[in-house]
Amino acid sequence: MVAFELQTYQGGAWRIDSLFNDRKLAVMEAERLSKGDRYSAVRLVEENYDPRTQSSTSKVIFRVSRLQDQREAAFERQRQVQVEVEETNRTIRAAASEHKAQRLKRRRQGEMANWISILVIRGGGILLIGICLLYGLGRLAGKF
Amino acid sequence: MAGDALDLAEAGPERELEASIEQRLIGRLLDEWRALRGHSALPPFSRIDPTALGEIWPWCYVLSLTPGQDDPVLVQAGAELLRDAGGIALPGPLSGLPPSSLIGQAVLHWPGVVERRVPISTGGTYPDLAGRTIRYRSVLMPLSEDGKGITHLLGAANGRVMVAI
Repeated sequence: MVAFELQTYQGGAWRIDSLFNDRKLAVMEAERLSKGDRYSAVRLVEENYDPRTQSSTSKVIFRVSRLQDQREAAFERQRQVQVEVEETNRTIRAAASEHKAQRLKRRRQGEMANWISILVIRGGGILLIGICLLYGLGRLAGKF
Repeated sequence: MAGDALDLAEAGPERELEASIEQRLIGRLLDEWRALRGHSALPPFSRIDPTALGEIWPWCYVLSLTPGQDDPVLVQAGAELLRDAGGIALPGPLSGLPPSSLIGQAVLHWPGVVERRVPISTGGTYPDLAGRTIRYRSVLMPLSEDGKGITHLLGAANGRVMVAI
């Protein structure tokens, strides 16, 4: 013996709305009810009663929850925000890395220029000292 | 009985779509019952308005329950149900309804409604007086004047002749 129990979620508890002996009609009614805004959740429970063993089993064959939908929507929004944050972080990290590379390049160029300047100054000084020494030696050689 | 969308009609696998007429009848009455109930456990009988039920009223009926009596009284019934039952007199006892009529079949599960205190929809087949097999669907809902005890039952039923293929 099969019966279908249409239940609605109200005030923090499931409440029996109606009973059906026709599966098709029960499912249609559950679907119709779930599309309205009267209840936050709707489910359909199939009850199977075995008169031989006098026992029954039940299983949920339909369930729609607006709360569940809202939770899923919130979770999806949260996931999208996380993706956006990660994207922004990646962009910031890439920009910082680029900036650092350019700064390093500029520093190296500066260091190279400094090194050339020092080389020129030092070379010029040595050359000047050499010329002075040659000039001094030439004068000394002329005296003797 | 032709012309009315809710009239008994021929049914068969190829006419599955038309089954929605009975489904709409039941859905409509359940919506009405839920709206009248509001936040209370049961809606009051006094708020049942046949004019508000419009085109489905000819397929609706009301039973009155008296505490301690096992035979409810049929106090109201729509024109189509009365015609299908062969023109029964109102008010009349449930035991006086012909079992081979739509209303006679639809009221059979009334004790379950009183026991469970929720609407119960049933469907099935039965042979009518002409020997035809009728497939029907029905719904029966509890009503209460004081919000506690069930004083009336509001029901609806519709069916169609099954065609042998």
